[in-house]
Amino acid sequence: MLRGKLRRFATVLVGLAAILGACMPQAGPTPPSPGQITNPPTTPEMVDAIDLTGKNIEVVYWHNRPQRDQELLQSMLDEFNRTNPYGIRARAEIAGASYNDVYNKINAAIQAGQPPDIAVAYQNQAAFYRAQGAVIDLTPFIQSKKYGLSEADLKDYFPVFLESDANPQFKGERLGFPTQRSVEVMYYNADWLRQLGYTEPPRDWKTWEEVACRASDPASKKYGWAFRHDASNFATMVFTRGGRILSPDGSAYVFNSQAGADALAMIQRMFKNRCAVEIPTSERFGEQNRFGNGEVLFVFASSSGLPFYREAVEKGARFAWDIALPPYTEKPAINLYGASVSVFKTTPERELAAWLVIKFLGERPQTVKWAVSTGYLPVRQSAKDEVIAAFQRNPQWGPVARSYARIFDWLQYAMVESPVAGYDPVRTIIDQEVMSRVINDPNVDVKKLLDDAVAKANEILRENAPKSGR
Amino acid sequence: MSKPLELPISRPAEVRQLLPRPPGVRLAVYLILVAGALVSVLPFAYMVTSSLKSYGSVITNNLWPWWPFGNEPLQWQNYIEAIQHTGWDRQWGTWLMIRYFANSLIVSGIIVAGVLVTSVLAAYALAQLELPGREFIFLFILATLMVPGELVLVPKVVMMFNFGWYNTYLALTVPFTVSVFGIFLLRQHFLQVPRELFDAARIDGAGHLQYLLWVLLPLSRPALVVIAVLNFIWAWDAFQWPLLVTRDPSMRVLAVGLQQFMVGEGGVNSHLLMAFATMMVAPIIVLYFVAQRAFTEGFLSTGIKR
Amino acid sequence: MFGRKKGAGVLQKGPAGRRFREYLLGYTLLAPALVLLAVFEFFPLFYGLYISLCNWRLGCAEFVGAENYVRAFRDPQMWQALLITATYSLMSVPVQLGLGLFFAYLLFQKVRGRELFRLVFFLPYVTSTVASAAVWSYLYNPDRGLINTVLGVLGLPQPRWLAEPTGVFALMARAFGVELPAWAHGPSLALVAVFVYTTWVFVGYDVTVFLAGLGNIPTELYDAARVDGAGSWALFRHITVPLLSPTTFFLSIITVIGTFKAFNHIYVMTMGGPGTATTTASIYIFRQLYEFNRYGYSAALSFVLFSAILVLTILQNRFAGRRVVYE
Repeated sequence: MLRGKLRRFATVLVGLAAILGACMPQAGPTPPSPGQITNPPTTPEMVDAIDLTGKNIEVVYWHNRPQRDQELLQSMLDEFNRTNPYGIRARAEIAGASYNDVYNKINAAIQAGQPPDIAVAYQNQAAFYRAQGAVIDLTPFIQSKKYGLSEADLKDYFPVFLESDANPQFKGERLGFPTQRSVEVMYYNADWLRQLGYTEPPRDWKTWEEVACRASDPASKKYGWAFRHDASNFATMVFTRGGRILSPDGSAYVFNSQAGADALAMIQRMFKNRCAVEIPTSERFGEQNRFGNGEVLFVFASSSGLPFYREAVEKGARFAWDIALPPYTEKPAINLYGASVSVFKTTPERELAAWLVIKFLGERPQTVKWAVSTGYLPVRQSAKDEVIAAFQRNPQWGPVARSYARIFDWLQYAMVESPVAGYDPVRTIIDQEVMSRVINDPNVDVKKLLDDAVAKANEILRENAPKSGR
Repeated sequence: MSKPLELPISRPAEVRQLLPRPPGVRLAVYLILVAGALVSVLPFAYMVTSSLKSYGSVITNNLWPWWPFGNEPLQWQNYIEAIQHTGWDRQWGTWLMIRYFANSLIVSGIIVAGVLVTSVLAAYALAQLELPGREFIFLFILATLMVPGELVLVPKVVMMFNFGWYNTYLALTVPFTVSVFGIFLLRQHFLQVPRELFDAARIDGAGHLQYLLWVLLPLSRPALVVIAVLNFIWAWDAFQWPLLVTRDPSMRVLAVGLQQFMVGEGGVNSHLLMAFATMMVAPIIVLYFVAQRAFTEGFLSTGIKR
Repeated sequence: MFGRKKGAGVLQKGPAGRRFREYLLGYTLLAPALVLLAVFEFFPLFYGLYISLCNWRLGCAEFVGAENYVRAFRDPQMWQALLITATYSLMSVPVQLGLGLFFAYLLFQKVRGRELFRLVFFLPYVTSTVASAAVWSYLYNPDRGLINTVLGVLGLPQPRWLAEPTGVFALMARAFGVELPAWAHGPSLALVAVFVYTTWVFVGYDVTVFLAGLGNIPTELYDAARVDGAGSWALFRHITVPLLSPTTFFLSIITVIGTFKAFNHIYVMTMGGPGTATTTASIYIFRQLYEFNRYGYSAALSFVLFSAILVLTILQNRFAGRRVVYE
């Protein structure tokens, strides 16, 4: 009796599901409207032809910064609202505290047919949205004669920042525009280094490993290196050995190269010899705190953490410290990361208005203010000096400002991990199936681990690749 | 029916002495309770003490930086700083933290009221009335409890957009004014009431609603209080849903504020984070303390000879 | 579960019109709850079912029918997640309910300061996950945590707790130099450590619900039994346990459902790690959804989990429901 009931119930369920599913609004490609301007516009001429007069468009910008930055952002947007000749009104909103929160919110909004106009997104998230047709290519806007960036303007942006937003999966379309960037640097305890007999941080990996192991004393809980098995740390080690995570044309993952194997073998050795300590997931900011307490010699972390490390050291063990380029085998390399902002597909007019907001925020006065408030790098080269001067004046930054200034010299070595759709799960694979294993098991075959991981990663790459015709 | 129902119900008894007499047992009981209490209170103590420390003491895990082991003063200003840290609410002209607090109160209050009403009505129907399809309905209700949250989260958010409830108190409250826990628990309690009481009420001329209001509800006070307190706590602590269905900071609830704070700046302002967390949990503690009495004053005694 | 015999009671007699009025009243009373549940829980469920039948890309790109489900059944990681979930539930339910009943019983006595004790026992449940997870993580920290520090002082081995993926039985056997076969390793130490944490969180909740249930038992029964010469254990066995059974049954169902859906506390503590040692079914589904963007697949997985919980509940109801005493 029950089974009969269940079967009927199931049929009803599926039937209802089909009907109701059809009723829910879905985001899909809109057919090009009659006339010249497609949505999204595909040439600079189309963008030039868009007319904004009298439209008084409202632009909504979703980000994940705390309240203090929200207020700064809104005050900058208020200035834009006052001064732009098209009556555009822009509004910033905190959509979540983490990129994950923002990502969830955006997904829900897209499915409800009400995406924001602008939102922060990592390159791989932008690629995911693009595969759904939900974000647009900004190239026509950048190149537009009427509304775009001049040659001089474009040159003012750090080239490597702009490059990181050109997506290889979508033939170089610019799915985002940079508002901030940071790099992964090596924090080191200068006093401790001196005690060990070194005046300068190690330049190559072999020396670095030696120094870290000499510094380690597990009995007193001091270690040479604190590691949170982060995929970005691994990427830094691969880049500095001449390797890459993803092939340049974005067609395959390549971190199982010799560079990857060497990096992994080094990590394995260091944990086997107890030269490094693993920071458990549950110990939030563990590497920062332990560094500040003088328990760890080296940490690889984002440059945006400079003021926080400063405070941790100040409240902790108070020693001389600095940042440096990570060690390298032949050529220096540095891991560049940071989210950009993407424009969502709505109407050509709204998209143009969104672009104008982004363009405004990228201008020198704005990027200076933003960098000073957040600790990220400004996006324009001409902003560099002003930002450094502001940090030097700021008591919170003080001596750290000098370190910050050196980062700009390192930008020439910048490399990017993987801007393609589906990179997040690959990071998880690297984290869980490679890093975790190698830390716990001193005998596991690193090459095999990497090969397996790359095979899985490539499968994910294929799964998330854009379908032809979009 | 204006005449009050007279039922043979005796006054409540407080607690019962159900353990063996010998003094050793009492001592053992106390020891066990104290041990359990210490284990229970540890993280809470960590939270409260951290909220009164300076940032440095928190990250160096200095357990007692004040007198007599150290010379740091109690950092009461952490609380003020935490309040100011969240920013200013333009709508009401006060600190956002105050607004969050008010929003949480409003939302949790409405949810509890809604839950009590829907649970009482539904539980009565399921316990007392011989409805066809009763088993099926009960299984249906219970089944909704088994649905994994992630599956329905995005469709529910999309629904809020479609209803036009996005960023309103409606989205924060209406979906939660029904509680399967409440229906289920109350139903169990209703089922325990002897038939004779209902028959006696019937004889006195009472209909279903009178029976429910004047007899059953007073007898079910422990269950009602548990349902109210727990649903208040769940509403108070919920952060994922409110985060997804609101956009203005003015519409945020305390739990969202705390989560955002933790993810955004928790590492660098751990002392403020703990102050925030303590402020958030304080009303719950007061509520529980006040509501406790009702748990044990429930009773059921009929004096009817069997 | 459905205690009353059909046909008993005053209500069945009388004219059919009266019965109809009663049905009408019944459905009207049920209406608010049912409508709310239907709109906000069941409708999204149907939509979720639709998603699970598609290759979902923020819209149904391709209707694939049962393909996601077939894939789910063939997925070893899903089976492993289910195994971890079942193990976790098997550990948690008896311990949580046992401790909950134990402490509720003690706190129902005329113990001095019982109101304070009850509050303190409830604190873990209301302390924000942020604070409680932070403290327990610190306790479990292999390097500087309190537990290992104490063990070190006593000269005992210091396991790595939340970072240890090896099974507990294997670890214990190793201490005696014995190497167990893979299937006998048991739950990972990480999972057991998490289980201790979540038990600590939820016992106070169980105590609260049990207290409400204890409050329902009439004094007269105890007095009468004591007059008859019954001792404390007899009182417990023959009065308390049976009359508490509706509450116990209720809590056991709720707890089984809750442990099978367990996500928040575990995720905050370990994020499913080390490796996949504490990846419960819900965490696995979460990962598939938010990291892999496999909407359709994670929807199908959710339904698989949902069915498992449904079957378990029905079974529980069949077997245990009979032994519940209502009067």
